[in-house]
Amino acid sequence: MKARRAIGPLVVPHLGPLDVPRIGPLDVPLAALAVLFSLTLVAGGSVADPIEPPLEADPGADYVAEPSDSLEAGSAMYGYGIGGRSGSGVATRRSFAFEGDSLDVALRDGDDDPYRGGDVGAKARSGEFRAGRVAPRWGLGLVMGTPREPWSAFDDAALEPWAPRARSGDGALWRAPAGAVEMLCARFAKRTVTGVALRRGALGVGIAGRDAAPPQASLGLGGEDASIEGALDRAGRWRGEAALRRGDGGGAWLLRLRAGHTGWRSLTDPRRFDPPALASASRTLVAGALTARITLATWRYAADTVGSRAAVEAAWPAGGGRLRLGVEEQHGAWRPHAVTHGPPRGMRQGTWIEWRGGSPALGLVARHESWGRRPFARAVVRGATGAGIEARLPLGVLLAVSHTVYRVTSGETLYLPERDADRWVLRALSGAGQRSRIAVRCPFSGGQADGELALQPVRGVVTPRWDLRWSRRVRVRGG
Amino acid sequence: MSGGLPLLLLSLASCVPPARPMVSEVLYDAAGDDEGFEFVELHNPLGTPAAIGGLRLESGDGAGPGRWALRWTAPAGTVIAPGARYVVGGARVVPAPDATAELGLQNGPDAVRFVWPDGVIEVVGYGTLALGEYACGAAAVDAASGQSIARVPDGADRGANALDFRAATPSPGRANQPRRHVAWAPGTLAIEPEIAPPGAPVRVSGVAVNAGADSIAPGALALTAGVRVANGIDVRGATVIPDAIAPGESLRVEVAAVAPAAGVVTWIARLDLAGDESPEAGRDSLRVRVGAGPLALTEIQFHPARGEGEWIEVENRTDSTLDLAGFVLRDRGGTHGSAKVPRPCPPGALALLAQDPAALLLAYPRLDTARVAAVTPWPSLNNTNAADGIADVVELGDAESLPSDRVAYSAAGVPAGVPVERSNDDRWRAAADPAGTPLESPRVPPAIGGAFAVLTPRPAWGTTSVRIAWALPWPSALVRIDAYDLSGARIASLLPETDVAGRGESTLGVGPLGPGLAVLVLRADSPARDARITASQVVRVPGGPR
Amino acid sequence: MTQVRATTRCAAVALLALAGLGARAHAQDFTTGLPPALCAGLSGGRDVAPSVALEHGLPGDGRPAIEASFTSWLGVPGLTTRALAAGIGFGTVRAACGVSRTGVEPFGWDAAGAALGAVGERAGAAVRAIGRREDDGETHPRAVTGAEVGAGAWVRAGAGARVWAEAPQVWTRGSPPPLPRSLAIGVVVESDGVAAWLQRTSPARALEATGQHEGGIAVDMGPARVWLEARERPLRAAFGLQAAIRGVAVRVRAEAHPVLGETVTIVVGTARGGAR
Repeated sequence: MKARRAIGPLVVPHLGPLDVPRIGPLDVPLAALAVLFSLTLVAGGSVADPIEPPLEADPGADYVAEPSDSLEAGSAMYGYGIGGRSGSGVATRRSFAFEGDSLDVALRDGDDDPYRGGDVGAKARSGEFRAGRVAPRWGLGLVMGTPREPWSAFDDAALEPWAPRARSGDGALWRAPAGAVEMLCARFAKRTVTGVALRRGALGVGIAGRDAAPPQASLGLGGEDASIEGALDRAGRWRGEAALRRGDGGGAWLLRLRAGHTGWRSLTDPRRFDPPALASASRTLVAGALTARITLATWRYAADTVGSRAAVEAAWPAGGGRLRLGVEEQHGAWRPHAVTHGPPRGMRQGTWIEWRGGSPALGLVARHESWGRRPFARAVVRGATGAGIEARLPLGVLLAVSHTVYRVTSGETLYLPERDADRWVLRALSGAGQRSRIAVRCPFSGGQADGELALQPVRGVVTPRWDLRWSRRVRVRGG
Repeated sequence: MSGGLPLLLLSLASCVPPARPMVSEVLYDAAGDDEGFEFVELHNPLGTPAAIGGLRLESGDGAGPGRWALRWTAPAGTVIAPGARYVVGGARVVPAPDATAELGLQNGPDAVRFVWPDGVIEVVGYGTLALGEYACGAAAVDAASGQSIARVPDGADRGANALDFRAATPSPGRANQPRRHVAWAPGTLAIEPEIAPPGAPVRVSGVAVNAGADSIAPGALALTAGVRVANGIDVRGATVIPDAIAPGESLRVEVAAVAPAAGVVTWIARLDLAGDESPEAGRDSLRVRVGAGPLALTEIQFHPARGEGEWIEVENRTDSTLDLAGFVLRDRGGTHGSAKVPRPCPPGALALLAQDPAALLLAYPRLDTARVAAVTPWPSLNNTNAADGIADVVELGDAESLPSDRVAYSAAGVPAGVPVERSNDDRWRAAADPAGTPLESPRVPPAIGGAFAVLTPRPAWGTTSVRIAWALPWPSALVRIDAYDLSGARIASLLPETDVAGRGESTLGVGPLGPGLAVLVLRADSPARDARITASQVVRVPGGPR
Repeated sequence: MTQVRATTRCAAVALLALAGLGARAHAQDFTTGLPPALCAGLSGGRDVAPSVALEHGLPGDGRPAIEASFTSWLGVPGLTTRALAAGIGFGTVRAACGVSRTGVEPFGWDAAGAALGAVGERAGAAVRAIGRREDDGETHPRAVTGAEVGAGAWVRAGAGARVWAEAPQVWTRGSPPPLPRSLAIGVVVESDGVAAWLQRTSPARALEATGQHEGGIAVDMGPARVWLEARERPLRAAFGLQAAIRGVAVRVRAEAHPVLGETVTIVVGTARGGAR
C-alpha cells in the first residue's frame, strides 16, 4: 500500500475525532480518508484511553507529536498557516509535500514548529535514498528508533498520533532494495550517528556508532507474530526485547518482555530513558457488540523505581452512538526519578466514560475522566469533563466546538489531546480551569481552510490563541 | 538555807521571784551591730517601790554549764517605783536607759539572769538550750535580729520562759503590751483603685490590730487618710470605726477619700485611738500615682490561638518618647519581666510587649517591627478566672516601681483567641475584631440592623475581602459563615465555627468564592447552644481568578 | 406503549451513568422554570420555551412564543428576577431574545440576551449571548458591564433518550457573571409519558474539586406535566408544574433549601394549542 499523507478530521479536544458518518460537501476522497482515520482510531481503542506523552517529553509541558502526514502517490500539498495568541506576535508555518513514483519531498518550516525541516527521498532500482529528516528504525527500536512505552499495548495503534515514532535526525539514509542493506549518517540530538544494517529474511543485524559513545550492535528477528531484538555495546551493556502476538480482533493477545542493563541509552535519543526491564500483556475480547481490552504491564527503571499498571476498557454501541468505559490502576514510577524529580507518585486509580453519537449533521461527544489516589478513584488528583459538537454546515463548512473543564492538583498534569490545523498537540494542564475550542474547516480557493480559536482563562484572564491555515492538494499525474 | 527550799519550790511553779521586780524585756540581738543597743528591762509590778541595790545582771553562755558572766550590778539605793520600769542597756538605747552598761549578751541559744543579793535568781533563757540552768522551764523563742523577747502581757508568769516571753518590737522603758494601743498590720495598707484619676473617689484600707491589753470600744477608733504635703497632711477622708476590737484581734478598716491632683503622692493613713500609748504605730504610708501613668495598657492577648504568643499593647500617653525598656511588666503572681533592649515609643504611639515577637510578626506581618519589644521573662497570663472572677492582673511599673497602669481582666465570656481591649468608655471587653487590633486603635462595632451585616457588600475591583459585623443577643457566640451561590449550591465555608464576642466586626476573605454573587449565611449559636440565629446577606465578589 | 428495545435500555442505563459521573447549569437571567433535561429536545421539543435557548443554549421549538417569568431567589429579600423572552423559528433555524432585571441596588443588574440555533430530528444546538449592566457603576467603573457567550446541544441517543451538553459561559468579558456556570452534561430518558434524567455539572469555581449532580423525574398528567428534582450540595429538592390551557402556558417551580429560603419561579407564556 502506498504511503499516504492524509488530513485528519476535526477533533474535539480530549475527545478524539467524532466517528459519525461524514458525507456531503467535502470532496469525497478527503472525506473518506477522514472517516477512515476516525474509524481507525475508534477501532484502535486508543483515543478513549487517557493519553500521556512519550517518555522523552518534558513532564508538565505541552507535547507536540511528530507529524506523520501521508500523501497519496502522485500528488502534492502546500500549506500555509499563521497563528498567535493575544498579546504576542504572529507565527507563520509553511509546509510542502510531494509524493511521486520515484521522488518524494516534505518540507516544514515555522516559527514554533519543533519538527521544522525537510526531507527528500529518491527511489531507484539501486535502492532508496533519503536526505534531510530521516527516521530509521531497526527491529524493536532498541538501537535505532524508539521502543514502545512500557504500558502500550498493540502495535496496531501505530496510526495514533501519540504512538512513539522513530526519532528523526537530520542526515542521509540509503536503503537497498527490499531493505537488505541500510546505511545512514545523521545528526541526532546534536551528535552524529552513523550506522549500517543488513537484513535477510526475518533476520536483521546492524551496528551504529556515535562520537564519544561506544558503538551499539543490534541483532533482530522479525515476523508477523513475533519480534525479538538483542542489542549490545562495546562497554558490555545490553538490552533485549521480545514481542509476541497471536490472533486478530477478538481473542488477540500481545506479550512483551524486555530485559537489559540499566545504563543502556539509545544513540539517537539519549534523553529518553526506557525501563531496562518490563513485562506487559494485552488481550482483546469481543462478545457481540462489546469490545473489551485488558492490559497489564509492569516495568522497572531501577531497584527502587518500579511501576505497574492494569487497565480494562470496554466499548459498545449505545443509543445510536458508542459508549466507552474504562478503569485503570497505576502504581509506582511512571518515569525515572531523574526525570520527574520526585518520588514515585504512588497509587492512582482512574475511570473514564465517553459517549459519542449524533446525526450526520450534528455529532455530540461527552466525556468524563477522573483519577484519584485512593481506591475507586477517590481523593481526586486530576479530572476533566468535556463535551463537544461537530456540525456540518452549508457550503461544506465543518464546525467543531468543544469545552473542557478540568481540575488538577499540584504535582499532577492532565494531558488534553488536540488536533491543530496541521499537527497534534498534547496540552499539559494543571490547576483548575477550562478550555474552549472552536474549529472551522471549509473549502477555500481550491483548497481547504482551517481556522481555530482556543480560549483558556489564566487567572481569570482569557488569552485567545488562534490559528489559520490554508492548504491545497493537487494531483500531479492521473490516478 | 531553810528559807531557800520554799523559794525553790515556789520557783518551780513560777519563774518570777515573788514580791520583786521581774525581767520584762531583753534585746540581745539588735539589728546590725549589737554594741550599745542591747538592753534588759526590769518591771516593778508591785504597788510599792522596790529596792534593787546589789542586784546583779549576768549573761549566760548556753554552750556549757556554769558559764555566767557578770554584766552589771545595781548600785546601792537603786529603787524602782511602783509599776515603773528600769532599763539597763547600752549607750545607744533610745530612750536612754536608766543604767548604762555594755551588756555583751550572747545571741541565742543563751540566757540572762538576775541574782538578788539574797541569792534569789530569775533566769530567762532563749533559743534551744541543752542545759537546764539557762532557762526557767522551756526557754523563750530565739527572736530574730532586731527583735526583743518581751513579757506579754506585762507581768505574765506562766511557769516557763517560753510561755511568758514572745518576740516583739523593742520597747525599752515602755510597757510591752500597752493597755490601749492600735497599730497597722504591716503591709496591709492599700488604696483602691491603685491608680485613680484626680478627684476620683478612692478607698484607703488596711488591717488595724488592737495591740493593747484593753478592748477598743465601738466608735473609739478613727481612721484618717490624707496625702503628705509640704506643710503636713492634706486630709482626703476620715471615718470612725464602728466596730469593737478585742485585744490581740485585727479588723479590716477602710475610709473613703478623694484622690488629690495628678502626680506621685504619699498617702498617710492614721489610726486615732484615745489614750493610745504608742500612737506612732497607728500611722502608715503608701506611695502611689494619681492620674494616668506614662504608659497605658490598651489591649491584652492572654490566650493566643494563632501561635503568635501572648502580647500586650501599650500606649505612650506622654508628650515625650518613652523607652519601653524602662518599664516592668508584672502579673498577679508577681512574675515580672522587662524589655532588655531599648525600644523607643514616640508620644501618643502604640507599642507591643510580646512574648515572642517573631511569632507575633509572623501572625501579623504588617506590624511595625520597631514598635514590638520582647519582654523577658514573660509573665504568662492566665486564661481562666480565679475564684474572685479575675483571670490575672497585668501591671506596668515604671522605673520608680510605681504602677503606670494596672488591669485586672476577666476571661469570662472572652472567646478563645480573642484579645481583650480597652474600649472608648475605658472598659475592657473582648475585642470587636476577633483577630485583635495590635498597633491599631480598637474598632467600634457599627450599629447594624439585624444580627448580621456585610459593611462592604460590593467591594472594589480586585478586593478579595469584605467587612462584616454582627450583633447578637449574647455576650459571646459560636459563629460560622457559609457562602452559597445564586442557585443555592454551597460554595465554601468562609468562617469555621468560631467563638466570637456578641458584637463585633471583622474582615472576611471572599477570594476563594471567585467572582459572582454570593449569599453569606451566618449561623450563630449561643454559648450554651440553646439558641440559634441564622441571618443571610448578599455580597458581590468582583472580578478575579475563578 | 412505546416499545423500548433491549439495546436502547442498555444505552439509556449507560447514558444515565454517564450523566451521573459527569451535574448543574442553573439559570440566573432568564429563569425558565424548567430543568434543562425537559428542554433537551424531549417530545420533539414541544416543551422548549424561548428562555431555554437564552439560558441554556438549547434551541427552542419553532413556534412564535413569548413568555414572562418571575423568580424569587433563596428567599433573599430583593433578590428577584423578572424576565421577558420571545422566540421564533424559520425552518430548522431557531432564534430567541429577551430582557431581564434581577435584584435591587446595589446588587441589581439588567440583562439582554439572544440565542440562535438549529434543530433537526436527531439533534439541536444553539449559541447564546448575554449582556449585562450592573448597578453601582460609580463604585466600579470598570465592572459595570459584562457579557457571556455560550452554547448547548442535544442529540438523540436511541429511542426516547437524549443526551445534552451546555456550556453557557464559554467566553466572558467585563464584569464576571453573577452566577458562574460550567459545563453540564446530562441524559434524559422518556417512555410512555414519564421522563427521568441525570445531569452532571463540572465545577465552576477554582475551589470546587468535583462537580455536582442532579436528577429528576417528570410525569405527564393529562394537560399538565409535573416533575420532581433533586440536587446535591446541599441536598435540596424542587417541585414543578406546567400546564397549558387555551393558548396560555403556566409553569411554577419551587425549590426548597435546607439553610436558605425557597427559590420560586412563575412563568406565564403563550402555548401551542391543546395541552401543554
